[in-house]
Amino acid sequence: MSDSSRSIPIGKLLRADNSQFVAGCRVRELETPSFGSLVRASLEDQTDVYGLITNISISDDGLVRQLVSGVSIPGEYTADNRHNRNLPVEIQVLTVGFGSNGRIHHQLPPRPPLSLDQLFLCDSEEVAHFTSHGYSYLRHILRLEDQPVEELLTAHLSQARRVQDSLGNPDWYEMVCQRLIVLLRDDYPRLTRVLDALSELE
Amino acid sequence: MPVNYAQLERSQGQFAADYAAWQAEQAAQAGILKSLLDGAAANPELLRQAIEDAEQQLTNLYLAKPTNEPILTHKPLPRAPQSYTLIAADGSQVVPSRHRALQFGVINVGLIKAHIGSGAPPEISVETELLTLNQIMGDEGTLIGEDEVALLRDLAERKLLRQAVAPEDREPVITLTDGPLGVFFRPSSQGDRGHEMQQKVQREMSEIDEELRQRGVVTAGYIDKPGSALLSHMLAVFQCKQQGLPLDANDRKLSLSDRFILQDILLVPGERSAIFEAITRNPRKPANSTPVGFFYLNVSSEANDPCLIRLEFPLWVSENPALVDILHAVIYTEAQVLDSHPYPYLLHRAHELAVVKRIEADEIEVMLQSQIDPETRARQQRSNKDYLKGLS
Repeated sequence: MSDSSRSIPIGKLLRADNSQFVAGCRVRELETPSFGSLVRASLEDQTDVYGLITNISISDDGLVRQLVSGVSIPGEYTADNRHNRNLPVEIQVLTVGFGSNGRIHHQLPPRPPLSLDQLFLCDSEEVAHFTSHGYSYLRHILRLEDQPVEELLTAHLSQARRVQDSLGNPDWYEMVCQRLIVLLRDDYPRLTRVLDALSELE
Repeated sequence: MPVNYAQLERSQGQFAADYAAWQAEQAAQAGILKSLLDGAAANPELLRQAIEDAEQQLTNLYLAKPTNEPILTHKPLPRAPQSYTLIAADGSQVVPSRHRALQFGVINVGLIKAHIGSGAPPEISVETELLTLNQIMGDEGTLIGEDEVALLRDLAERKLLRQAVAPEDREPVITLTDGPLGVFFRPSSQGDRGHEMQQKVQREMSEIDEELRQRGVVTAGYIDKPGSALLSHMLAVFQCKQQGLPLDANDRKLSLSDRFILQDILLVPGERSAIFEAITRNPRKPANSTPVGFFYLNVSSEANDPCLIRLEFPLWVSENPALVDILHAVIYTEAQVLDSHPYPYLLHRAHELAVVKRIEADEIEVMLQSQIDPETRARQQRSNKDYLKGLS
């Protein structure tokens, strides 16, 4: 099990299944999580479930809609809505693997996290640990439909590449790209879009 | 069974006709009252005498008394201060019900305090008070009603506001509650016990008002869509005086919400009316209640589309024109935050914090039941009527 004391808590689980989960946090806690970040939920049985943030959505309600149409809102009241009101930000997470007894598996976990389990943002060490065990977790991303897969890959690989480069593994990113080409060899239009998106990282 | 719309359809024509006739009557009354208002404005001395006589002669009185401002005053919106403290409180309650398995009452007050100009989010708090059995049970074992619980809620709001005021608050400090500032003497508060409760609440409120006055805190009560006919009643006694009739012969038909009388005067967004004193004379009302002043304020943001509210405050505020200007500007600015439906933002938030939903009341009941001896609990049953209502 990972050392939670080093990680940054970013929310608590609202709902989950084996392949994805949704956490909630307050707007004021939204400074740390970002699209494509690797996150972890730690289960009571010492299993860590890893995932990538695929979407962050901000809820509204009648009062917020009313305020939006207002001419001027004092800064204090904007802060009130962000800090005090019970409008959770929903963080959607795609499960990409799990850790158990110190080993990383790029399969779906035996069971999903439970409601109110804490969600942590993985630090560089955890990102390195998770991404150093091969690239098979990429299939979970490529299986997504109706979601910006290319953008998610770019965001995640940008983070992981930075970590791997800092550890002296400059080949890691090249290997990932080769793996993506293999996985998408039968889907040329998608491969083109993915490579086009990844060119942003060059 | 849904509503019988076919039956309603047959009645709706008559309803519309009655409504149109009622509106015409209201318009006629408004015309009479506006002309009386002009007459009273032209003869302030006669108006003053009429009100003084009414104060001496009538035992039941609820009318507006002019202060030193001409009654047709319409004052433009002053500039709001850059920084101030605004605190709003609103309460909600669970009224004891014999249909529940357990008879209990709860008062829940939400408070929100904003330091305008600081950029910091407002402080929020919720105070929940479980009423004692002694508070909810009458002498003959009857449960107190909605009006008595509302009195206790009003007092709880005021107590929480007093607690919330701190020496380090940015001045001026304004507190805001929903509804009239004075204790409303409800005729349904029955018997000596109800009367005693009203007196006790009034005493405590007066003490709080005095303490806040000494600290220079302005307490205000915001009345949205006001229905009171304080000006109508004032004009009715003026009419009696003008015609040489006894004051108790005043035309009770002259009773129209003040906002219909003033809406042609306060046409510009942000304008306020003259300040009046609210004179309430009631045999059950104690003499020590805080004198209340009020003005009407056009909180609309659109010209020629007035939306009048009544703002009540302790009468001592009216002696300080700079403070009146601050109150005027702050309340208008505050209501403009929700500009298409102007209402003070913080008051709405206090309500949002306080409101107790049915499901929460049920949870409180379960929580309380868990503390009761199981044998006693087994004998405490919800009424069958209430149970069956819950099925549909």
